[in-house]
Order: sequence, then C-alpha cells, then structure tokens
Amino acid sequence: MDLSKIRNFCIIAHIDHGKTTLSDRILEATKAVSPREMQEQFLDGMDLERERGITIKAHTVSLRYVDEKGDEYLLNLIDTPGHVDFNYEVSRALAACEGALLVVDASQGVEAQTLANAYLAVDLGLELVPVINKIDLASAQPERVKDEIENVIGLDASDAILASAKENIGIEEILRAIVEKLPPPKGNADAPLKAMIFDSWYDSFRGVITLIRIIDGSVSVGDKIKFLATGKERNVEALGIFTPSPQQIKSLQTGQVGFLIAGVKDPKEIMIGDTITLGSNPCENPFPGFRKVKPMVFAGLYPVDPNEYPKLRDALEKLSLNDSSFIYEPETSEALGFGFRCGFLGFLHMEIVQERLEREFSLDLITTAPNVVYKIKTNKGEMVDIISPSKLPEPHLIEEFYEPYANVTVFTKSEFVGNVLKLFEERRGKQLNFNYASKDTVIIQYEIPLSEIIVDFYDKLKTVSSGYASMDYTIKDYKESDLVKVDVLVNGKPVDALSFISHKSQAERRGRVAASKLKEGIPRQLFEVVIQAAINSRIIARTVVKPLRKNVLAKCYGGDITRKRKLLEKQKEGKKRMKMVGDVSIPQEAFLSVLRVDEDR
Amino acid sequence: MAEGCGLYIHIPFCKTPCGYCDFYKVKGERIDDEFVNLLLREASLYREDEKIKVVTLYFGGGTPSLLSPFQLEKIFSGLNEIFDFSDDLESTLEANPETLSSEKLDDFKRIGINRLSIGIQSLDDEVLKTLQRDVQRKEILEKLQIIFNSEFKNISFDLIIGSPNSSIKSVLKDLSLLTNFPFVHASLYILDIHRGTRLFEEIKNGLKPTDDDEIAEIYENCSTFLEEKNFIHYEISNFARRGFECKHNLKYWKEEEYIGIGPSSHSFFRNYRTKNPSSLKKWKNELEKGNFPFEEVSKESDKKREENKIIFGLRLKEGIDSDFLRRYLEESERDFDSLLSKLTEGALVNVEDKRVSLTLKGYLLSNEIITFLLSRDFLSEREFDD
Repeated sequence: MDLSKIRNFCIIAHIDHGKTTLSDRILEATKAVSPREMQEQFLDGMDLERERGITIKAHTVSLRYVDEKGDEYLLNLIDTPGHVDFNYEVSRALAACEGALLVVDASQGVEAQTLANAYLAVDLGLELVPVINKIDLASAQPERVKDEIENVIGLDASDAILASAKENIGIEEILRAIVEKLPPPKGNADAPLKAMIFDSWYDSFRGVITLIRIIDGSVSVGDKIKFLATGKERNVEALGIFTPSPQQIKSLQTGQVGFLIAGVKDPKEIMIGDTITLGSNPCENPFPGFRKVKPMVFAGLYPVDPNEYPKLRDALEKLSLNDSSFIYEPETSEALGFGFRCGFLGFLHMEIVQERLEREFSLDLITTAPNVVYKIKTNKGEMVDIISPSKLPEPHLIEEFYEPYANVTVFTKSEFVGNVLKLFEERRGKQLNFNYASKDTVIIQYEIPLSEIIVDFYDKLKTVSSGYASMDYTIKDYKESDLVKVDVLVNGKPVDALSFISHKSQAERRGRVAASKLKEGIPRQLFEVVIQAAINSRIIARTVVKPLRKNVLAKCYGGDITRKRKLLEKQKEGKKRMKMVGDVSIPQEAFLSVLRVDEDR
Repeated sequence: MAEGCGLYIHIPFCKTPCGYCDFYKVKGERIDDEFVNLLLREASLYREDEKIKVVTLYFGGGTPSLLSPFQLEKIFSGLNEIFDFSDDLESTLEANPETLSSEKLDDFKRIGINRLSIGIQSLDDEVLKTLQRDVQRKEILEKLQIIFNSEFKNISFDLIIGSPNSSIKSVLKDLSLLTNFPFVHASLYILDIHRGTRLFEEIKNGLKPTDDDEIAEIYENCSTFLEEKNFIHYEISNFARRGFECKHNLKYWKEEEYIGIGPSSHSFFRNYRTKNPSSLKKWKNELEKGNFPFEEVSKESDKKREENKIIFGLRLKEGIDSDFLRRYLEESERDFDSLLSKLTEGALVNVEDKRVSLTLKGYLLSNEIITFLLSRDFLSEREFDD
C-alpha cells in the first residue's frame, strides 16, 4: 500500500472533553477497511473458537476514508490510556502516530492533561490539529479557548476546527484535516523489519496480543521475530487489524498498525516500547524512547479474611496478566498476616487495581497506606530500594536517604490560585513556573516529593478548587532528603502495617494526625485502646479509644431468641470486616487513614 | 428438660399502639370471639392422649388485658382442658394499667391468673408523651391503688430506661415511687429504637436519643437502687424478690420448652423452633385448613443448643458452668484461663464456684462479650431469615 495514503493519528483530550464521542463519530463517518484492501490475500480460515480468542479491545481501529477527489486513505486511529499514571504508555502510543487531534472543550478550555500530552506529542514530532469541541453548548467560548491554545501550548489555533461530536458538527472537516494536514508515515519498506510495541494485553486463548506500528520493512505470518529488549525470539502466529472487529491478514507493511500474536504466554516478556525485528535480518538500532516501566508506588494488600489468601493470590496473578505494569510479591505482616506488597505506576493506578480486585474478584481487602520507593545508602555503601517502611533498617545503619520527586502541573481558575499554592507549600513543593494561560486561567508548576501527592493530593486539589483544577505529573529524579520512620503503636505494640516514612520536619505532625485519625477510625470496643505514634522509640502522640459502655439486647424472650442470634451474626459479620490486631479490631479503612493529613477535625 | 412446658398466648390487640413498640399488634379496642376460638383451635393441635404438662402460662401482647373476663375464662378453661396444668401453675397476664378495674381484676383472679405484669414504662408525663403511651401519670397511680387493693400478690412492673427526654433523675424518681408499692418483680428495659416505629421516625426528624454512655449510667444506677431495695438482678433486664423470678421467662433463657399460640408467637418444642406468621390473616388461613400455622420451622442441632446455652445463659446472674464453656470453646485450661482473666480484669465477668457470669458492667456489654468469647466458628448455622 502507498505510504502517502496512510495516516496514523490519535486524539489528545482531557477527561470528559469528548474523546470517546468523537472517536465514535469518526467511526460512523468512515467505512471499516476490509482486509482485502490492505493485502491481496488474507487468512480467514479461523475457526470460531480461535476468533473469539482475540479480545475485541479496539485500542486501534483501521478505517477507510474517501476524500472528495475520490482518493482512498487508510486511517489508523490509535487510542491512548486515559490517566496520568500511564505517561509512558501514552508516549508510546503517540510515537506510533504522525499526528494528533488536539481536542479541547469549548467551555472548559485547556487543562493539565491536554497540555502535558500536547507537549509530549510535540516533543515526539507529531503534527497537531486543534479541534474545539462542544461548540453547541451555551457556555462555549471558542475565541477564549483559541487564545489558550495559542498562549499555553504555542500552537496556531486560527484554523482550529469548531466541532460538536455530540451534534455531529465538524466531523467531515476533521476527516479532511487528518488527510490534508497530518503527514503520512515515513519509513523504508526495503529496510529490515523494525516495529514498535505500543500496547499489549493477555488473551486466555491466544496468549499475549501486542499492538505494533511497523516503522521499516514488513512482517509476515511465519516470520521468526526477535524482541530487542529481551532478546527472545518467537514465531509470528497471526497478524491482523481491527475494523474494529479483528481481521486476520498475512502481513503488515511499513507505516501500518495492527496486532501481532507470537505465542507469548507470559505477559512480562512483552514490554511496551520494545522493538520487534527479524531474527534472521535484524535492524541496526531499536526504535528510540524505550524504557522499562518501574512501579513507583507500593502498598500492602491483605485479605481481611486470612482464608482468602489463595483467592487473592490467584486474583493478582490474573490481573497482572492484563496489566504488566502492576507487580506484586509475597509479604508477611505481624499485624495482618499473609499478603502481598504491590507496586503501581501511581496512585490512580493503585485505586484502579484495588477496585478491580474488590469488584471483579469480590475480595475484601485491607490496603495499607501507600509509599513511594525510597532509596537508601547503607553505612556499608550499598544502595538499597525501600518499598516498605517496615523494611527500613535501623536509623544508624542509614548513611543517606533519598526520595523521588515529581513535577506537577496544575491548571486552575485564578480565583483558586491561593488555595492551590497553599496546598503545594504545605507539602514541601517548590515552585517552578507560574503563568497565566488566559485572563482567568493559571498554570502552576511545582517540583514536589512524590510521596506528597500519592495519598490525597488529587482529592484535596479538587476540593480547594471546587472541582475546577486539573493536574498532571511526571516523575523526576531522586533527591537526598531528611526522612524518618514514624511507628504507630496499638496498646503498646508497634503495628508494622501502620508505620510510615515522613520528612523529619513533618514527622511529629503526621504522627499526631495518624494517631487521631486512627482514634476516629477504630470503634469503641470491650477494652480500652491506646494509640501512640513514635519516632525512634520516642512517643510523640497518644490518644485513647474509651471502652464501649453498652451493647446489649435488653429484651429477650421467645421470639427474640432468633432475633438475638441474628443480631450477633450481624455483629460478627461486621467484625469480619475488621482485622484483629492483638485484641483490637481495626477496620479496613483505618489502615489507609494514617496518611490522610487533613487536620480539619 | 424441666418437668413441664411453658405456654405463651399472644393477644395482638392494642387500643393505641405505643410509639416504640415493634411487636406484632393490631389496632382494636375489642377482641372478637372468633379470635378466641382460633386460639383454642391452634391449642387443640397440641392435644395428645397423654396431655402435655404445662407449668407456666403467659398472656402477652399486644394488650391481653383487653380480653373480657368472659373471653379470658373461655381461653383459660379451654387450655386447661387441652393441656395438663400443674398445680402450682404460674399464670401471668400482661396488663396496661388504664385497662384495669377492680371488677376485672377480681374476675381475672377467679379465672386462674395469679401474676400480673403491669406495663408502666414511665411515670413522667413528658416521657410518656415521648413514648406515645396513651396514658398519664395520674391515671397510672390511681390504677396502681386499685391493683394493690385486689387479691393479686405477685405483681411486676415494666419500666423503660433511656427514652428521649428522660434522665437519671427522672428514672430514679419513678423507681423510688414504684418500689413504695409492694411489687415483687421489675423489668427494666433499655429502649431499643426499631426501624418502622413512630419513635424511629421522630428520631430521624430530629428528636434527640439518649446517648449510650448516659444509658449505661442510668442502667447501673437503677440496678444498684433496686438491689438496695432487696431486688435480685437475676437477668439482664429483670429484678425480683427472692422466689419471685418469672418462671415462664426463665424457660427462654434456659433452653427449656415452650409452646407459643397466636399470630407471631414462637415455640421451642421437642427440639424444633417454630414461628407463626405476623399476620392475623395468614395465621387464620392455616388454622382453618387444620394446619399448624408455622411460617418457619427449624430443628435445633446439638451444637446450636450448646451455643444458645452460652448466649442465653450469660443473661442470667447464675451464669453458666465454666467447664461446659471451656469444653465448648475447645480451649486448654491455660488458654481458657487467660481468656477469662482478660474479662475479669476488665471487671466484665465473674468466675466463682465454677460458674461464669457477667457483672453489671458486663451485662451492658453482653453482645460484645459473647462475640469476643465465641468469635471463631460461632454462629455457623443460620436460623430463620425474616
């Protein structure tokens, strides 16, 4: 196929600015490509079972578009992950494209994610076509939004397409702009195969399915391919495109996008951004930009009911098949028993995984307060990663203590600037930039320790800005820091699952807050519960949960015998959702509460 | 099993239902004879060649004192003919003071009732109003004069503690006045606010409930007060002069047999627990077909019976046998001792002469203590679902 007739593009948009609706409109306005148009020959001999085996997860859709002159184009729309923790994955999906539609809500304007992803796209050399969406709304201010696009992103917005995906306005114009303004792929069809993996998922019938972009050369079914990062070689079992239903084809050519199945059963073997080449005729250099994604946020996950340990283990295994960025390893806690230390790309990723475990696998979980990956240099000169506060060596064994930093970008209406700045200042942030995007929108950039934003920063930001502020972040370097471990003691015994690492300047305050949060979270029970916080065995806070005075079924006669039993059963069920630490029942949520730093109460 | 069965008759009619009550009741001032006939019809299902021996009879409600003497006599003599009433039958009638008169009381006594349980609930007009009891202090006191002028000697009162708008002071004032009358038994109930009652709605709409810590305070004060007046605190909510414990109610707490008759009543008979429907209509329909009207039936396993012995035995001052408890918990002597010592250190439990019982403080926390003791495989079998 003629390269000049191919366009690979994606849609950059902030959440709720209309990406999904616009994708649907584009799909409606074009015709699905038949495999015949891409290849002279294609395989359609799949039996049903195998066909079903390919999960229809249209992360990329191949479309046919015929312009006014009657020229036919192949449009590949590539989806990008929707949230801030998947920065790297977004960059790989963008790298598979030559251009992008930059969609901005006509009343909301540019937001943090729009900016972050637009910059990423520009850095990768993508051509951007600005689209101002939702112009049908009464609150639409296309001129203001144009200004913002020009001032903030630095993109000429004079030709921005005014559209409403909902009302089907501007769709034809968008399609025309895609073929006229976005460049076709470059690449050398005669060079050795070079393909970049930009997405993958696990299918129980076919193993790992990867989405690839052919940079140079071509790949055919039966080829022996090599993954450059791992050095593994595999045979290509199937190739195909999504239209959006999966269609198998015999080969993928330079500039094209499609799926590849190579009998890989272990998802960890496939790395996003890795380069595929031919075993017999390898390309010289890998596609640039590859890196191994490393989880940056860790938390302990424990079953509330110890009997559910195997169930949790199986669930984690299944989940990690479809999410190779999520890792886990067994961990034991004195307080919580057997569980897992789990690593996530960020705090939103953690929430997603946790929610899936609870919902899809109906597990009852205790999540400990998350922490970032710290680094220490021991007095013997070794560098060690610390993924759990309980694994921190004694202070005198630590020579140097490091924590990761992030650059955070916040977009906010100027009326909330004061609140947002305060939030950053409270959390050890250092201001990098402060700009007006437009008369009443401000972009603020801060450098801040990652640990300060992984628990409740996002919620707080939304609260202090009445929901208006948006944020994006990228993880930067490690910096040496004055850190200490804060222990929490329940009835005199330290509870490993409750300890956390804090900057020294905040440790006492955090300790006090943790103790009082726990006091709120632990219900009164038979015996008094004493909660203490300590730094290096020095007690810095003490609170007491007074013993319960009354829990009795006063009346108990004939019919009440069953009522009483039912009441006790219910109470027992309630207790099941709590963890017994010694003689103290601690509710699930309390384990997370220690790091919530608002002191309002 | 004790030498005879308890018999409970549910009379689900009330002139004006009280705001806190969640028992099955129907609004009605008069009870029709059809209902009386149906009660006897249900009772006759228990007719056996060798009549079932009955040692306690209890008319509960609702408001059993709404029965006319004629009706009560018909029921009493009917039951007496179906069952074998023991010579020392304890026969209780629940009565609301406002429904009583000296003539009625004489008739009740003549028919065979020998114990009265008077639903007083409070002597404070503000509290009576809060509880939506359709009576006032003045009338209650007048009726008490009449009651104690009758031939009844075995008389109990019910008092509610922890009602909104009540206080330690108001409850102790009530108690000290009531104990001036020669009552031999008292039931003190901590108010439970049940969903679906009018009181529940009022609290939802802003009526302030009494705080649990304050209720605990009131409860402990009342118990001390009554014990000083020579009442024995023999069950969580019950006090009696020696020898005047309610034999009928003791059956519930000691896993002894009782037969319940009337809508919504429960039985524990020959190892089966059964429940009648909380609907006059459904109850009647089954009876008219000649059936037992049970809505639910479950057999009590040995394990559940042992568990119940613990759960309900701990309601009583006499408590439970400590060896029995230890065997049930399958604990070694050492572990059992340390388990108990935790509770005795907290002054929640007494261990004396191989009996384990709850202290006053422990009574108030009985649910917690039971779940604490039996938290392992406890309550594995479910009972009724309603």
